[in-house]
Amino acid sequence: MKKIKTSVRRIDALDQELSEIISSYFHLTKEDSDKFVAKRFHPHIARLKESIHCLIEWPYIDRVFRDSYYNYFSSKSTHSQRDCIRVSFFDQVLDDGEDSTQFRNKESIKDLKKSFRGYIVIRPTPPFIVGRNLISPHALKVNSFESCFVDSSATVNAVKMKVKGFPHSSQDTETITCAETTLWSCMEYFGSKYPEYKPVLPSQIIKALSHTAHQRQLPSNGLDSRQISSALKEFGFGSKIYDSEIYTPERFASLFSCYIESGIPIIVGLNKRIGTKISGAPMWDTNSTGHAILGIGREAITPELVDSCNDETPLSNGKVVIDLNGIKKQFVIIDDNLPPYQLAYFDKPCENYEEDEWKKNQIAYFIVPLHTRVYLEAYEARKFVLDLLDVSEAQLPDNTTVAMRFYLTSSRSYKHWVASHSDMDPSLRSIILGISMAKFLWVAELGTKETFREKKANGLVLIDATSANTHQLNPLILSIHDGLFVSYDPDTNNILRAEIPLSKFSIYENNLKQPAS
Amino acid sequence: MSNILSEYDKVFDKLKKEGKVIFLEGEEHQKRMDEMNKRAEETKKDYQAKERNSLIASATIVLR
Repeated sequence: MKKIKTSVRRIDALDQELSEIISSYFHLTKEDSDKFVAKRFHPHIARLKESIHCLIEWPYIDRVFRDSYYNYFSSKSTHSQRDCIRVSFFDQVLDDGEDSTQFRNKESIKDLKKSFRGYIVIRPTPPFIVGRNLISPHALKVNSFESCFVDSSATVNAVKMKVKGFPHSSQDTETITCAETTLWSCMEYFGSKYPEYKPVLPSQIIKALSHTAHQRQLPSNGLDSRQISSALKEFGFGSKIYDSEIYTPERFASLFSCYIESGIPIIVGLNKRIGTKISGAPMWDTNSTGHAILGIGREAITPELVDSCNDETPLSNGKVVIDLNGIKKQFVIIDDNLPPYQLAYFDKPCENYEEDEWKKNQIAYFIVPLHTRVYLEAYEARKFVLDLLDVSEAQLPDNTTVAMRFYLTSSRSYKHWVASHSDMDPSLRSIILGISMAKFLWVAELGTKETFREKKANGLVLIDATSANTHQLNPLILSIHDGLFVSYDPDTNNILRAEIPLSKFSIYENNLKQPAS
Repeated sequence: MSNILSEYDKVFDKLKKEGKVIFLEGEEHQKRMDEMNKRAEETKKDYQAKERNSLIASATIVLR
């Protein structure tokens, strides 16, 4: 039987206390422990509010490290520690007296639950000591971004707590490199959020890839895009790969933005760029190894950012569509070498690294873990909408410029938004809620830069994302702009056009969440 | 029999009575549809090539 020990510290006194516990519990020299805490752990807490207090608990049994331990570390003669240490964060003062009843009193437990801001597991895998962690963006000093978040539960000092954030871990370099960590983080998110998926452990990632592996899998040598995509398929996704050499830089960035705007965490492959080919495609350093990160959100879109967008696609007869996915903005990144929620521009994904060599990394490709029922992906869906606005019965009037916000969502979420939040005209609202729709929709909200500055649109195109056949306007659910409504008539299956006036309505803001929501 | 309601029908019954709905048929409509079909076909071929080439190009980089 083991005794559970706890210690309470303010965040500014955490490093010293944690270093002493690590040194004693993991049998490291104090010098090494100080070094690992300063280099690997401190950057995580340096970004947290000064009002945060911390509870350290040990031994802590971490399911992810235990999996790595039993499948790999236990077979090494030099590794015997299988327990971890956990640091939990609260945005309130924690009593540090021996007689404290803060965690044993019904009233104070209520306050603790409200102020719980997440946890970091410390693994006995020096120097890579930071393991599984989930930090609420509320704990950060700066959190003006919108992102994917998931509810996570943790039992801290025997009290069940909940926190919202995005799962993160550093790699241990032996059982999980950046590629496996990114897969783990992605599955932890989807598995905790949707019943179709399950969180996975490192050994399950190895097992999922074992039938295609030509060499031993442990210690890990990393994964390539096919392996990552194959693992995602095993875990229930129909993933898509987009490579920077194949798309124009503008379209490549806007496709990435479109999927981020759709609230889908994206696995990103980085590599060192050493030049540009004659074709304009990037040239990569073939001797270097790449790095995997996750894109999970973006900075808040301000009116100034809307104004700055210049991703214009000219159509026929003077029609122009400005794609707001082309706004140059910072994305929220989960990088296993850095603390969670890094903000970086698409063309400088490693600008937060100190080392110049790392800063040379750029996005070589990205893998989108799409639901298996999304048969129409973003490139084709966007082109369908542009053609619709150009030459179909739903075309824009000549010589008009519209701004477009384009994203994927589920019809359930979209209808719920329209029913409960929207200030849409009652006629359109009734039509949207009265049509039976496929599980997923591509949504193009149309307006001008002025309307989008106020987070409003005045036109809408809804496309069936489960329709792979784009002939005969098959994917079209409805299009409405400039008082002109076009749709298939559900009774006769003919295309109909109707006059329906439409005033401005609020844009859909449900795919990405603000930390405050 | 209970009164079956459709939000969609309520809107369109009113619009039809006001003469604000037309069904699209005829040569002009078919011309537009043919152009959409032609573009849809081109886009599909373009994307299929891009998808195939993305798979090949991305596979050369190992992430670790």
